[in-house]
Formats: sequence, structure tokens, C-alpha cells
Amino acid sequence: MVTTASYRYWFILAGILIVSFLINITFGSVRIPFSQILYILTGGIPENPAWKSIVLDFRLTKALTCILAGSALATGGLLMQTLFRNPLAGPDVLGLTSGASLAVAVLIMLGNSLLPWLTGSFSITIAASLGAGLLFLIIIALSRSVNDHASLLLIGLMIGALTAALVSILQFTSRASDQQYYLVWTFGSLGGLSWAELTILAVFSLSGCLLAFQLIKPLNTWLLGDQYARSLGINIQRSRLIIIISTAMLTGSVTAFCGPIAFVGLAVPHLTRLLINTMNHKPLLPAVSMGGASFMLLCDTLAQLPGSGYIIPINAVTSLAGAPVVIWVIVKSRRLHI
Amino acid sequence: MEDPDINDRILLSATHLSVGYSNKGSAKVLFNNLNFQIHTGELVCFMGANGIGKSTLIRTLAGLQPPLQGKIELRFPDNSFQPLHHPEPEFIALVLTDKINAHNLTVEELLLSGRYPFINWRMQTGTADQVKINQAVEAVRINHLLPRRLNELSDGQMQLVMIARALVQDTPLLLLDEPTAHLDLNNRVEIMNLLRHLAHRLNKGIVVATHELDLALQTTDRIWLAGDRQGILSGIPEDLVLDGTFDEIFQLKGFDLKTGRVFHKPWRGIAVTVRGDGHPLLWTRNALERSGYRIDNSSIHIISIAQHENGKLTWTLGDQSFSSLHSLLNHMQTGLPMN
Repeated sequence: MVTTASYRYWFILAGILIVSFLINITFGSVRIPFSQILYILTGGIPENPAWKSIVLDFRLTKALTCILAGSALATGGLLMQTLFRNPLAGPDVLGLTSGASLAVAVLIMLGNSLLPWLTGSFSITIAASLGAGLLFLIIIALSRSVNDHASLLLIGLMIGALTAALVSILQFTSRASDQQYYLVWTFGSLGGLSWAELTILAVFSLSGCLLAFQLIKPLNTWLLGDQYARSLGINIQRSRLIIIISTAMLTGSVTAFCGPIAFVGLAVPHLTRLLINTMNHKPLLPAVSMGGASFMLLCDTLAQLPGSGYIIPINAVTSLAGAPVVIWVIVKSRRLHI
Repeated sequence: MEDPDINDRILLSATHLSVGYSNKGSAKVLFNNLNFQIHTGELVCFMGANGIGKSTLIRTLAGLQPPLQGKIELRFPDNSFQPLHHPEPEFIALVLTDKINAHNLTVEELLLSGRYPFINWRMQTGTADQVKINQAVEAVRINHLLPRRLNELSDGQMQLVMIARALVQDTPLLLLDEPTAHLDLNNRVEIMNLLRHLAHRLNKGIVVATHELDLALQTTDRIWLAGDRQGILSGIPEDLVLDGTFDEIFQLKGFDLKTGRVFHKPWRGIAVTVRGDGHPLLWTRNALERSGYRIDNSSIHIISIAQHENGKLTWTLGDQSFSSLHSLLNHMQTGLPMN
């Protein structure tokens, strides 16, 4: 049997995930003893009844949001890196999050005044997914006429600039309250989701992940090139379409609820490969989604600035952690290919 | 007439096949009106100059690109002929010139991709799959490479692995595009011998596109020669050599295919007689001809080759004797009169 990643790695990954989850749920502006937290999680009544609602309604939903968002973004990033055979691809760098943001901006700033009933969280999720998917199609169409990694990233950068310009035009014409709502949304936030919203996020991101797991075979053959993939009976158009749908759902739903979160999709696949060094998607896909969940939980913990009452935007933390990884990948691949 | 049994051995049959590219209505035809069959147990070398369209024909036969005209039919085990519309992973396996960029994949993982057409999306493999992989590894003898990553392989090892990957698919037909390009002589001979062995022992039909004339002549069962006028001439190598087809198509410069030797001009105008036998005689003649001497056994300059009991050779010319061809040639250059 082909076992690239032995069981040891799965124990390590699962261990990191559980520890990250517990750390994340333990720290917050209110100090709650760790034993009490475990007690609450297992269904007990704590010494201070208020702690129960803090842990279950606030911290647990936030931790679950982190797990869903982190694994969704990381999985989307891995799909894009394999699809473009480009180690620097990711939902944010190639403009998918920009597309989702633009769709959300249109909905918030135009929709709020014109069609108030349209701005529920479900329709925002749909809009963001459509925006991400549309941008993905544009990037794929453009990627056919460029064949180096850097050009594709520059195109992604330009698309980001274009959508930012469109959003600022929208802001210019919209109400102050909508503007502020949108601005706060762009900082990114993992907290504050109701259980109903969490359900929508879960449905979208888990469906996206399930679609991705169906793609293990095409993704592996993708590494061999189009011709070999086709000779093995892989339908390239169909697989590409499923990758687009899956990535759009993953990126769109997370962006709708948590804002445009940077660097997770780009950095986590590389960080995971430090542990499980393989290009075989059978172990890599689940490993990357677990890694993404842990990464997001830890970033969110840091965002609370443990011990202080302050919360810094999650985007600042993911960028602080993710940008060095990207620099490392660029430096490393320079050495490999030139 | 060909023998009647040969129809039972047909794997692929092409009729009135035109191959090339059509781009926005204008077609670039590389081969026109080809009619041929590929048989089981037969190694075919498809030869032609670079750029003549060997890769395009291979891709067309693999179902990766549609023919411009005509049809390709596959003969399935139930004896039914079915037209080829798209790649048939259970019938045709490929080795292409495309570079594999998955440096981090292990050889074992790459080989498993040959089983993808036969396993489900969860990639559950059974013992049957493992047996096919083991057989392919055995046939190509790459056991020691299994745990390696692709970026740790030499070019020759990579080719062997790609051939094994195609074998893992266990198809009746194998198409290979330039499998010996960029390899050294040892590896080229090894791969061609391996392919012939596979064709004969495992009864596969194997087509190899190559431009390596010398290797193909000595290993293949049949040669397709891409000539001018968009056609292909087919025959066994010896026939094509003797009827001058090769000379006509390749317009060989300074290489005599009938003797298998490079032609040298005796520009020194000096003839020598060589006496000896076996390999020493052969290579002594080679050295002399290469240096511009004419071999003529009526010449007054007589070189005798003697082999001693310890295996050492000496060459005698007149009253002088030499322990190497190099010293003999040096001596001859300094003073051998024209005759």
C-alpha cells in the first residue's frame, strides 16, 4: 500500500488541532479557569452561570467559525495551487476574495437601500460565492495567455485594484451607515456569528470540502500535466469546473461571514507540507484542511492579545504569520528553478 | 500477401488517416491518407526527422487530438472494432515527452497513477492493483527506485519510471514519444531492449517514435518511415535498408547504411595491406580508414597484427613494431611514401 504519510503525522496534526482549539477557547477578555471550561464543554453547570453562555454562545461559535473558515480557505488555496501549478496561488492573491468582497459591497451598499430583504446572511453568502466564482473564471481565462508564475500574480493584483476602485466608487454613492458596516466587515472578524449563520457557513464550506475530496484523483493527475491526465481518462473540463465551484463556495462563504481574510489559503499548504512533505492529495487534502483550522484558531487567539482587553483585526494577524511564509516560498523556489 | 493470421493480431487499424492541426478553419496537414495496422507482439519504430509530426501522430493515435480525416479503430478483446474518439485508458498507455513537474511525488505514487482508470475516487487499491504495480516494477527492474522522489532521479531513471507507469495501466497498446531522447548510449540500448522484450514476452503492441536510426535498425520488428509527401513507408528494417528507402529519405551524408559504417575518403592516396583477423583486424582497418588510408591487399606496405599469449597486440610495419595503433599511425604519418 502507498502510505506516504504515516499515522504518526495524523496524530501530530490532530494533536495540534485539539490543542489549538483548547487554547483558543480558554483565552479571552474574561478569565475562566481551564477546568471550568472543560466542565462546560462536557455539559456541566459552572460556578459562575454567566461563564456558560460566554463559552458556548461566544467562544465556541467563534472557535467553530475558525475551524470552518481556516480549513475552507486552506483547502481552496491548495486547489488553486494545484490547478495553476503555481506555489504562490491562493484565493486572496488571485483576486477571488476581491470578487467576493465586490459582490458583498454591491449587496450591502446598493441592496440595503433598494432591496432590504436581499441582505440576509444567506443571500450574502450566495453573492460572495458567485463573485468569487466569476473572478476565478476570469483568472482562468487570462491564465491561458500567460505562462509564468509572476505574471499570473500581477494579474491577480490588478484585479484586486480594479475591485477596490469599484468598491470605493460604491462607497462614494452610499449611505454612511452602510459604508461603516462594509468597512468593519473588511477588517475581517471570526466572532459574532449566530448558530444559524454558523450553520450556513458549515453547509457551504463542508460541501466545498466534500467536492474537493472527490477530486483527489484528478488533482494528482493534474500534477502530471494535461496530456497524461486525459490519457488516464480524466475529464479536464469537468474537473476544472468542479474545482471552480468548490473553491468559489469555500472562499465565498468564508468571505461573506468573516470578511476578506488574507494569506491563509496561500500559506497553510506550504506550512502543512513542512510536516507531511508530499504532493499526493490523498493525505495532503485532509492534512491541509486540518492545518488550516489549527492556523486560524491560533491566529484568532493571538488577535485577542491574551491578557489584554483589546482585539486586533484577524487580517493583521494572518498577514503577520502568512507573509513571511510567502517570502520563504519565493526565496526557496528561486533557488530551485534558476 | 501477408499471412492470414496477422488479422487476428490487429490492435489498432487506421484507414485514410490525415493528421495535423486545424486552426480557425485552416488546416495544417502533417500526414495524409495513412493506412496501417498495429499488431500484438510487435515493436514498431516510427522514424522521421525532428518536426515532421511524430508527436502529433502519437497524440492522434492516443485519442488526445482528433484526426483531420479518416478513422482509427481499436480492436477490443471481444473482436469488435470500435472507433477511437477519446483517450482509452484501458487500451492505450502513453509515455510522452512532457516534463513532469511534480518533484515531490514518490516513484511509488507516480506508478499508482497508472491504476487511476481502474480505482474509485477514494483511491482504494486492491491486491490486483498492487500485483500490476509489482509486475511493472519487476519488468523494468526499478525496485530500488520505489521510495525515491522524482527530483532525485536521473533522466534515464525517470524514463524507466515513466515506462513502468505506462505498464502499470496494463494496456494491450503502448505509445512512446522519444523515450530515449537525452539519454546516454547504455540507457538507450537498455530501454529499446526492454521495449522489444515487453512486446514479445507480454504480447503488447508498442509504437516508439524516435529519430535514432542505428538503435532502431538493430532492435525493432517494423519501421515506419516518415517520408516526403506526407506519407509513411512501412517495412522490416532490413528490407528498407536493402531497397534503398533509407538512403532516399534520409539522404545520408557519409554514412553507408548497408555496411553500417561511416564512409571515409582515402585522402592520403596511400594504400596499405593489413594482415590479421577478428576484432583486431576490424579496428585496425577502422583506424587506418579514419586516418585517410586506403585498404588494398595488393599494397607493398604490409601491416601484420600479432596477438601474444598474454593478450597484448603488436603491429609490425616493415622492420618496426608498435605496441599501439596510436604509435603506428604516428609513425606512418612521418614517412610513408605514396604508392
